Amino acid sequence: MNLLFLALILGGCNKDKNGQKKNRTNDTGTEAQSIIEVTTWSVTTPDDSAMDVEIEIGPDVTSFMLTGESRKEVGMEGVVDPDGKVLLYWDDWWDSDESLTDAIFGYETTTALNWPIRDVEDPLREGTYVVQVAALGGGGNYTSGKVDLTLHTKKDPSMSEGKVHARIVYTGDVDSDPDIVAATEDSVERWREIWAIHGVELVETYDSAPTIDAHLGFWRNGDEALLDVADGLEPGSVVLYLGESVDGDFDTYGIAGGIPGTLANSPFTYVVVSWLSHAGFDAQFTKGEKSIMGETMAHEIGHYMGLYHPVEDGFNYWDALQDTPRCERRGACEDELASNLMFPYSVCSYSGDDCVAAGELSVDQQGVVHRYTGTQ
Amino acid sequence: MLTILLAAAAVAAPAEIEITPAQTAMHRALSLRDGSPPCADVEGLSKTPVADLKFLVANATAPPWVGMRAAECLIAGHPTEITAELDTWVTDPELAGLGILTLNRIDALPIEIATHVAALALEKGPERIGARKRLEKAERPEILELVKP
Repeated sequence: MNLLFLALILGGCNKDKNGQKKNRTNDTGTEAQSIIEVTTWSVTTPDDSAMDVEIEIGPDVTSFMLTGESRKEVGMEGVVDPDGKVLLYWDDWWDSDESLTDAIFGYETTTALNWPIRDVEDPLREGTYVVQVAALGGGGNYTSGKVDLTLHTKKDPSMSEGKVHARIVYTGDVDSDPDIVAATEDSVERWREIWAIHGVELVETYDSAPTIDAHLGFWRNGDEALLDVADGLEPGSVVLYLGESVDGDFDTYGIAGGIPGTLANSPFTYVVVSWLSHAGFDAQFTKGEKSIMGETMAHEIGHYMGLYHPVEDGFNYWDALQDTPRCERRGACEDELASNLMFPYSVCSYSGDDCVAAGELSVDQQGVVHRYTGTQ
Repeated sequence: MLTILLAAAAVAAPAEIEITPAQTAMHRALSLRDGSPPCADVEGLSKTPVADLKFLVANATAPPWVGMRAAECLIAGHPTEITAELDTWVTDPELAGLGILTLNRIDALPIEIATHVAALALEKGPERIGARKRLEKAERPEILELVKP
């Protein structure tokens, strides 16, 4: 199967069809020290296959993120290095009990692929990479579609230090309550503390979006209204929306717009968190509840930066990292992973603030975060 | 059974209580960080789901969303069995989170219960729950009638 894919890639590598590589615009960060470059262009995919999109990687580039936006659902089916070596092939992961990236699935109209993801992937080198981009119609079938592409690249060899710019956005009239604002700021300090342990400096700014409903109903389908909020942000920024609930319900407490989430300004550029779910029955934050909300913020942004739960709640699906245990029972998983930031649930007694602090990341998990193109 | 220390959510004094395996299972299911399973799945963990959900609302304080989600399951699936609780949730300042949740879900309640709860919240609800502004977002005319200027 891989050979077939390789043959398809090689056959299409040199084609410059459907506008690929034409009319590309290039932008760089506004700050002098920015190490992220941004390029945008559009392609039209064929109706019977994915399209080979060529990515020129310059010297010293360490990570790239390719984002595809379309009226169709967008999948990123493979990555091939300059020698024609297949680095990622969708079918290797489609039915796997391990998760590497959501980019292969093509569930959304905005899809992002960050590469490389893990330590076991070869570092980038100068040359032409190919990413297979597909527009998908009903039933996941190929369809022809215009796909707007955004390429972010970064030059950042450090796997131990970096910073992430985050914009925290109060929706509706959430920021009219000083108690919620104070609790949010305290929660952000917990988030900062967690990330600092893993070599990531949080650089946050705050904003208000009173016209965005505080029930955050956009999380399933995205929202064009988010474009204005993220407009003009430092390249590489992530955006966290704080609302009262997620989609008006209390079955979702926080969610990321993708694994990984895009760095492009899109309707899916978001992480959402519900303040009320974290304040609980009395709508007042205890010290422990603020700490848990900070962990949720770091957890959801962790998803956005490409991290999966090390084990899912059914204990039969795992992340694709080598140093997170492949535990298979609740007790064993809690013993080994309850303090991991990405563990899927909070391990608490019933009472008060008595929850296991969840801020740890394994070395491989830290590597995913530092390879995320937004981590500078 | 597991013995735990209760730091009261809806009751005042800490006390030692015993929780059942079903309550433990429901608590775990509702502890997921990103989001919880559907109410039907959670209730399927217990032979007495209403009583156990009520227990979680009253007693489970950590993680903070467990009681809120349990309350939402009660509102969505068992509103006629929690009329007394609804009255308390929208009037007790110590339960403002549950009051906000109830008002946000007012359209999910049977209309007789919804109008009663809405009127009670407008009359006796604590300022914190913002009854008027939340009820103005209701869809049903019977509720909107209550908040007419």
